[in-house]
Amino acid sequence: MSTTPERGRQTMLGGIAAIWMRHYRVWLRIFWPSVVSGILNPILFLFAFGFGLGAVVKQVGDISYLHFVVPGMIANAALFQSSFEASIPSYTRFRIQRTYEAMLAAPLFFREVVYGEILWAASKGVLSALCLYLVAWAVDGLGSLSGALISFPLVALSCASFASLGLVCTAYARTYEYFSFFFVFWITPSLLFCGVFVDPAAYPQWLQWATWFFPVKHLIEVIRPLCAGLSVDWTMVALHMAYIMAFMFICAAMAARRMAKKLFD
Amino acid sequence: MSAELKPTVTVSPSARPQAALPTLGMVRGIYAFWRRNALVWRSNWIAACFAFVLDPAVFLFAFGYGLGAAFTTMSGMPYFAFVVPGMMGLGLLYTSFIECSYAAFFRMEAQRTYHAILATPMALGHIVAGEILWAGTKATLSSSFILLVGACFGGVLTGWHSLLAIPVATLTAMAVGAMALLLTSVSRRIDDFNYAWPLLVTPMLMFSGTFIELARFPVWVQMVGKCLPLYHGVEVMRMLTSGHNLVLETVWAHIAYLVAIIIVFGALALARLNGRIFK
Amino acid sequence: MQQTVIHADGLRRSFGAFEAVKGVSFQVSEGQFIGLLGPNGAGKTTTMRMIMGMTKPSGGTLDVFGVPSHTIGRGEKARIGLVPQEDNLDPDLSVRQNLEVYGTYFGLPHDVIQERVDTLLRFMELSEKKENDVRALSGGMKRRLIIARALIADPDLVILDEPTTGLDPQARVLIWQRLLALKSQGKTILLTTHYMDEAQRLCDRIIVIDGGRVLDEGSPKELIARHVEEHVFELQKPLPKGIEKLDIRSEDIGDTALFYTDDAARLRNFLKADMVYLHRPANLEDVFLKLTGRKLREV
Repeated sequence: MSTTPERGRQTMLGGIAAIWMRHYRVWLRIFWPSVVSGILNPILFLFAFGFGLGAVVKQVGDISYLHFVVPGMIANAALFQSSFEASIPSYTRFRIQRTYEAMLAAPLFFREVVYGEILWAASKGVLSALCLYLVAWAVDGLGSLSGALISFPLVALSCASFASLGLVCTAYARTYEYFSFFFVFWITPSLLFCGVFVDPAAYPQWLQWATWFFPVKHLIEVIRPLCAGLSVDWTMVALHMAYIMAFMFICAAMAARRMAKKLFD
Repeated sequence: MSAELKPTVTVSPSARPQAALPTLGMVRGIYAFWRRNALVWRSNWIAACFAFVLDPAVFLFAFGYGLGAAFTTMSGMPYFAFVVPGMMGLGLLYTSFIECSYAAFFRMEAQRTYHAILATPMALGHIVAGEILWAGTKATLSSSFILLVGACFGGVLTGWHSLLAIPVATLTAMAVGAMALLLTSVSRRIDDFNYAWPLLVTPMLMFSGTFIELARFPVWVQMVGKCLPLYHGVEVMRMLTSGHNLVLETVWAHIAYLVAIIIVFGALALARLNGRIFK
Repeated sequence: MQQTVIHADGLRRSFGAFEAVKGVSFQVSEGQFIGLLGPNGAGKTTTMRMIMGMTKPSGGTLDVFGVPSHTIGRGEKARIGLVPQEDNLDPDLSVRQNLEVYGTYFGLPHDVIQERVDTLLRFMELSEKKENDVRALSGGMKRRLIIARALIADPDLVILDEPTTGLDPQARVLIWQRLLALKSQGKTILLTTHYMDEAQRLCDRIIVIDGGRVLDEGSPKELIARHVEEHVFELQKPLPKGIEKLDIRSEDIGDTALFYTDDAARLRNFLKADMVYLHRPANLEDVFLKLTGRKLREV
């Protein structure tokens, strides 16, 4: 051949970006349903809990109930969106639509598909958290704006951790029904026992210990004093974040291992 | 006797095909679709049961402890007794909504199950009624389990007639299911159900007296809540499990409302699906 | 001398106790159109997956562009266009977006993608459908779109796994024309199929494969000349009396029998004028029947 055909040059970052962009383009087509539910749903929750619980529980520790519940809801929205996106929708791409196989026939490597998937799911969590920050700011639910700004990147980082757990479920699920376990053992306990709406001190001691397994509990522990404008113990922040990151690396490795086995065997 | 002269294929009476029936009766048709869903469910029931039975029970525990610390009593009863019928409502809401929205949409669009069924003597009405009934069945299982757990921990204040709350749960689930099926009939893609969460599911969850009594909210919120079927179901179930304010006329009024919702939304869903499938 | 694109030697692959590929050797040179012909379950798809580096061989060697297949990197993958057997188009994207997004997986520049997408949509006669949802496409259109997608990076080697299975005759003919056009552009093409007419029409060289082994290989003409007689007579049963005395090689395939001969006149004279029979030239189906005792499409 006289001229070398243009084949492009793919790199690792380029590959991850290409996968992220694919998800982004799909998402643009469903932009409105996502944004409407992303903003309206937390407003409803805030309203209901503000009226219902806030009328009774005026104060939790040193902060008002509103300042207590806002960081919990931010963390929970980040958790739900990012780990959900890496669960059922990823499973559909992985097992039903076989999108991963099409990607792997292109010059992309398996780990780029995995990282791209996690990065995308985390992005959705970040967006969801951002919606909540805005809603909270509008209703004066943030005690310290600078603290809230510092907490934002920590939330974003945690989203990758939540997403990795979702991807573990995707890797191990055999049918859609298996995601029951994901909801019962992950989403529900994270929502109920990790201090999102109520002070976990109300629960039995063993449960309070057991829930330290859930990264969202660590995240809430970090961002609650930040958003409320209380004094912050930075050593503890570092330790909590270290746990969240370790959780991410273990989950991502587990998911990648299992998926590789299913794809290449 | 002319049949003996022609070559014939003998078919044993039990193996004679359905075509021998003049028409497929309504009950048999609905049962056939219900049974199809039940068979699918049975093949995977452990995984399938997990979320919708265990999840509300976990909620019951969490709210009993967590909110119980804040509210000691609500609507004139201990908070735990208040929240048991509320959690039956939460369980049936999620089970029935998901079954008649995402799962039904998946059956219709991705698996084309409706189209396959409609190639037989089954009618669309059988499918619609079968879907709603199936949602009611699943919700019955989940509500019964929560009632049992609640009773074990002293959350049921009345005697055996608290069991009547179970058929009420079934009926409420069917009303939610009929509403969800109408959404399914107008959804173009699965992501359209995203709208249903803030516009239908969350309001029902929050403003039906499930875990916070409706009287604590502003009047306009109370009015919205009272239009939604879950409120009526939870009210009746709470009367039956706590014995508070149990007035027979009120019970029948609530039940009449639920039945009306099932009929109206079921009919609307049928009409919309009819236009969608046989266009 | 032509470059070797794929070189397989004693290639094996087993899944647990089941051996899908049991020592396959073949070679594909630049610019050739090669067919892997065999029934379902012959080991064709497994071989394809090994070439793409999606499955590691359990034994033997398999080099693609001179590199062991399971270690192929971005450079080699960018030179291969794969048309898989199952539809793995992206159902969440439109026809046009499917091609655009796939182009970004190769790291192609934006303007190159735009230009190629238009060319490919025209080439595969999909321009009118470019804004459609892929879910709304017919089977033939989906298949054309998958082929267009495989061509987005202008590959040197195009691998097609049963590209026309389940399509109607017109859709198949259109795909055949396009594949021949690709060959004339100098691309190397590897095609698996269980349609002998497809293999016979398109391929320079055919590798007949069954039960994970290569039975024989050669051009369609060579294979027919090597294994079967020139003429075939298909006779419905019951067969006429005395036909066995002619001592003609035959194959019994249920309610029909096939008679193979180089001397067509002798058999035709024996058959009475009022008998209904089919007289046709021998084809690859007959080769396969001779080699395995089974019909290709009924396995």
